[in-house]
Amino acid sequence: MKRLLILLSLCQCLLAQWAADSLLDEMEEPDVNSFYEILMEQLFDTRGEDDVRSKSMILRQRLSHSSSSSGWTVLNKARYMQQGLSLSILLEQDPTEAKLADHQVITLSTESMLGLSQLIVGDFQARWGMGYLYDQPGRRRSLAASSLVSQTSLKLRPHFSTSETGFFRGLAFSKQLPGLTIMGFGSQRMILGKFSSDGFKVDSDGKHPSKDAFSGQRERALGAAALVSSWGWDVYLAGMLKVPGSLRGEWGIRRENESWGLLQTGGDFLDNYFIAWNYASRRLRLSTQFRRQQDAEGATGVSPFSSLATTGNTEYGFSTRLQLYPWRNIAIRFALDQDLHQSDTRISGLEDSQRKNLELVFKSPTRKLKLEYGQQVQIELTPADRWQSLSASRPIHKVGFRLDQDLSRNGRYVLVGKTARQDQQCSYLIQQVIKVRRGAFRADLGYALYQIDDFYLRIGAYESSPLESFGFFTAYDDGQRFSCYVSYQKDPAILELKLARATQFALQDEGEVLLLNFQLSIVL
Amino acid sequence: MTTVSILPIFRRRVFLCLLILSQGHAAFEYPGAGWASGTAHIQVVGQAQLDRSRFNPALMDSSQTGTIGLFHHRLFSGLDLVSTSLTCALPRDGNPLVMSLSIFGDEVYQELQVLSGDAWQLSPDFRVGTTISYSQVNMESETIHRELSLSPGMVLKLSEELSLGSVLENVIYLPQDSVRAQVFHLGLDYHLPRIQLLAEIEKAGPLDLDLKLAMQLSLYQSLTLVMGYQQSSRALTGGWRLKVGKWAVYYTRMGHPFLPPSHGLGLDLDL
Repeated sequence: MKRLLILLSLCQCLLAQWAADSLLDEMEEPDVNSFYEILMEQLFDTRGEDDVRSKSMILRQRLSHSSSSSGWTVLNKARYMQQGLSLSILLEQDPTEAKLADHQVITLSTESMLGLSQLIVGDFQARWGMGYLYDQPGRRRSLAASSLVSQTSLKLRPHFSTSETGFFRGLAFSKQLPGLTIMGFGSQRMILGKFSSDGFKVDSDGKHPSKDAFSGQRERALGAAALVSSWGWDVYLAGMLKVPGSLRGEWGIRRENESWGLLQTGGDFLDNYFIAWNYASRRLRLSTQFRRQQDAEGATGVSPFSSLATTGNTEYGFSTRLQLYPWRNIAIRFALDQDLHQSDTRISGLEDSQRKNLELVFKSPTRKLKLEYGQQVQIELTPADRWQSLSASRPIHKVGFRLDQDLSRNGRYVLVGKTARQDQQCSYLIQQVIKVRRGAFRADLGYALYQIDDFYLRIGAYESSPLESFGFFTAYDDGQRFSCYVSYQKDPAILELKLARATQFALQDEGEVLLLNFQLSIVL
Repeated sequence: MTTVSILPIFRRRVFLCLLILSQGHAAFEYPGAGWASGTAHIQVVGQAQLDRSRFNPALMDSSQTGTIGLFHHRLFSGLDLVSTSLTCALPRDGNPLVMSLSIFGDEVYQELQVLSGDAWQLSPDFRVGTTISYSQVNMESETIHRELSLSPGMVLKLSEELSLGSVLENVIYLPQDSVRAQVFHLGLDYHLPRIQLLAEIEKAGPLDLDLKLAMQLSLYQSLTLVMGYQQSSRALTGGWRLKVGKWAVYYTRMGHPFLPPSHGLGLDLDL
């Protein structure tokens, strides 16, 4: 026992030495002879970079509760960065889960180690291409013109999210040479899910109640990619072997020019491809994209551009975005998405869709007004319709506005109105928010009243929420929603609390949903 | 006669099951809690007494004095369960150190824990700490479980009166198949010159949140009274502490609605 005590003490002393050296040298003169410095010099090529001693630490703890999910969610995350070295830790426990670390992420990421440009050990994401290899959640289309193109062709980044899918666990690296970047990774991860008559189904929502039994399936993946940059052209090739799964490949070509913008094309080796062009100037941003999806969610298992709600296996798509700034205080945004089926080989459930959105923003020193109009047409086609050249077109029209009006130096009033209409059915939402800021305190009080006739006409709205938490709610049925968000900021901490109460009038007590979200953030 | 001899053993078995499965929420999980057993076992925030320092080392600051303390706890009188702990806090430049040895159990179940904790001041109002503990559990002298666990914690000073603390208990443990419960503690400490109010929420495994409240009154410079309430077990706690010179002696009592009361007696010495 005595030896054990001595051993533990020695371990503690070593830990203390390491921590003191690495965390506290802000207050003290760096000791170049310390164990930590020698270790850093041995491990990392930091010679000549002594002046670049930036470091920071982010710590976040969140407790949230929703009466609809009958339990508490506990999130703890921290990131420590120093000299290109980054350590990320994330632990999340969803309601009724047994462990505080049911979902855990521990990742060490470095720059310029062992001659490599980047090395990641732990959990990471390979943001390669446009999503033909695997789903790229960050590459969804939005109203922004830049969302139709990819700004970086190949990127490795540590996974630091509560999402329990869409990342790898293992080792990844990248190496930059003149005109050439190569990347690779190896991953092995236990995927939780349940076996059924259809085989293994991955648990995609990440919730593992302690009373349920889950099975694990080992998922292995190997990936390699190369990017050649020469004479203004970027050409990349990426491949990934996934077990269970298959070998997939993706290619891409990118060319950027100051006068005519960015031209990009890419695809896989299964006849799926896209072509996109993006132009950006001071007053105009314009982009357009054409895509062909031969086997959406078929052989590849991924559908980077699939927009149709049905499981159609072939689709053509065309999108365009326009952002115009004619005057300093006015912005205009227009978006068009058209998706068409290539063939009618399926028996039923075929759809074509078209979405248009127009947004006008007026700004003044004390006021901001946003007007928006959207139209969505979904054409449901059946074989009989095809024979008779009929189509059931039921367009949904959405109109909305948002007014932000400063009441004083510390107060602001926000009024939001949204409607959705299809045939004779109509839904509406009115939201009012009072925002007050005084010293280190900030408080937002919101109230929303809504009447939603049909599930397809549901309306979403934003409300203030703690940093990095989901601040979007979807209104359904007839009801109301109160929300209160309070934050207090005092270096190095930010304390945030959100309370919300939603009521569905028709369900009385059963229609009450209470939500609580408390978050502590520390940034050093 | 048979019934009389079997009953205590049966009660012990029930207790052990509760302890190991961590379902005996709020009643069985605080062996060796020391002075904090009088404040509804709020250990994550409060004054840096020995038992709190061993739980959340971040409570120790640069003014930490060297202290050694012995605490004996008789849990639920009638179950023959006792807990004894010897804890020592040592001041060091920048990062004070705490070490502890505790023994807990009865003739059927014995748990030995060796713990070591450190604290670091990262900014004037923010400190972090971590403990590494080794536990050895003997059950009826037949099976021995050995576990190593790490529990980080932090303390944030929001103002002169208000501070906030948290601990991720057993966030990392070995072996992986251990039944050690992972517990998240978040506490608030509001203190005035003579009164200190403590609150803690605790999330253990899949169980719902547990709320603990406590109040500490300093009647004189040398005498302190505490009382607390724990929501899940509906347990009321209390205690007194008398400090004379370098010595401090204290007594704690926890009343439980269904189980016999627990008594604790401790002695601290400033080095």
